[in-house]
Amino acid sequence: MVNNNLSKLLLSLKEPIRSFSLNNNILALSQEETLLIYTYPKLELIGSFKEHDKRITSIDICQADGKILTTSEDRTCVVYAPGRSGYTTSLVVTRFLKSINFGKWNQSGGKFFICSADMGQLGVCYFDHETNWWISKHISPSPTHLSGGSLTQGASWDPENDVLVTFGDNFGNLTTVSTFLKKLDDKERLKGSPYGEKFPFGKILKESMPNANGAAINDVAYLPKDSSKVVILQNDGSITLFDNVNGTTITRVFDSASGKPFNKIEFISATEFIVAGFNDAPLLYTIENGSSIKFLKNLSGASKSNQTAKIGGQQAGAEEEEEQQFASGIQALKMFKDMDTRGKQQAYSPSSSSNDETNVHVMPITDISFDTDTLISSGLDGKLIEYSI
Amino acid sequence: MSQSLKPYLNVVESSLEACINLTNFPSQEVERHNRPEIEVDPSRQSAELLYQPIHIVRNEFEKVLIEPSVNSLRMSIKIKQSDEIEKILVHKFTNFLEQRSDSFAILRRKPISEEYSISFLITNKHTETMKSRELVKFIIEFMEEVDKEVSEMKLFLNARARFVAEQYLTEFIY
Repeated sequence: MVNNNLSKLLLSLKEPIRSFSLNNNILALSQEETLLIYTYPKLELIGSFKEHDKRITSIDICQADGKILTTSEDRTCVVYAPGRSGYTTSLVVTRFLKSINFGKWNQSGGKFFICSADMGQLGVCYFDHETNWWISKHISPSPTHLSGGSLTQGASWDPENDVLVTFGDNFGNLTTVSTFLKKLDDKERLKGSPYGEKFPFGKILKESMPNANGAAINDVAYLPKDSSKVVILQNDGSITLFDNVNGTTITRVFDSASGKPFNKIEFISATEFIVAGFNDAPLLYTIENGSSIKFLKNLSGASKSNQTAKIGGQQAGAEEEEEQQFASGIQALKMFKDMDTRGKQQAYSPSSSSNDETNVHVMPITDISFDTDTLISSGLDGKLIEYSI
Repeated sequence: MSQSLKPYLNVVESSLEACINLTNFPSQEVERHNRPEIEVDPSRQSAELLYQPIHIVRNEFEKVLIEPSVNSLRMSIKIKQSDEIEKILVHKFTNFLEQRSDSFAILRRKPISEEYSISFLITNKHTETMKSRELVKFIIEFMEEVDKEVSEMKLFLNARARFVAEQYLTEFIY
């Protein structure tokens, strides 16, 4: 069992960290509209950019050449290319009219996809050297999925060929499309793909509704060694191992401890993966024999002590309830009473009673990233925490 | 808290805990907007963003409605009003609080319908600045206290009425 000492607080910032990315010793994270770039593991701030005028929704660093991509609620994306004299920024005109919720580079770094709520479309962006301009091409899912358009933060590149993308939406649909571009992609890599024979740009290869329950899909990840299967996280708190080619659910599990939904999934080996979200702690699961999902451990050792503290607190509370009735009261009502009868003024804060522990999240986890034996998670509480696995 | 009230509050608490998983969700209908989806007209917006509402009914006088959505949650409470005096007291009490809803942060300015006495509106902005478990605890404490408060006020009122009546009627005793 992992003990408490193996998790370490890296950063504690004022604003919530909605997204971050770690690659090649560069750590990029968002603070509302601002992008902060740090070195890792020294954590020296090397850049701060405010290219967006609305909240940054996701950040991704390209594995191949270290370019940073940010997507934002202001309907634009920005690419930050590293150079000798720091980062140069270039705006990607996406032609989407709504917020861009998520963006991710492919492995070779030539292109990235973006998810927008605008008509449920997916954008594929690449750099065109002839015009010296980032180009965004759109892929529209079938009209049955279009009522209002509703993409969420759940999409993933096929690890085997870097061309196919699977994404989930708020209706609970899972769609696999091809983003094949003649200039950039190699046909050979698509040979033997379980998703078909021909892959023209924008072709919808698979459409299914896993578990047929209509629960929004929060995140999708391909199995690293078997791209016919995906693991999906749904808003009902389930983790589903899904056969994407045949459209069948292999197995589905829930986190019995909290029952809360997860936001992010990341594979750390061929069979082991980590999920994190509203339960405030990253959990390690493994896929056994390709057919069942088994819970291994909670990486945040402190969450256990939190739970016991809570139970203990409840018992104590029941005993002392009568005595403390007046003292505890309802705070807001008490505040007005004080103001009314005693002329007192005091700030009201329902979150005043905190049992802050420095190296655990006290609010939902927004993003996770795995890098050789260490996992880093970011939370709405502005914390960045590192775990040894 | 009385033992009979406890199971009711426990159900409300666990239902709230299950519904309070709110995320940031930029509007998919209006560009550059970020609004609580539960407050948007359901006939004109994407229905998939609203989740199943939960009704918790203790008896004809007390019930709770929880309406969750992707980035906001609305909770309406019907406070116990078994007679006319309690009706007036609850109305005055909730009115007083609603007029000062700015200080409450999560209190809605009006209940969603006349069926309910008071409504709370929790958005992702609240859960990002306050711990959601504490928010749930606050609402449960409110529900516990409000009944007590109303019956206390009623007793007070009755005592005062009796006193006034006695004083007034002593005039007629010879």
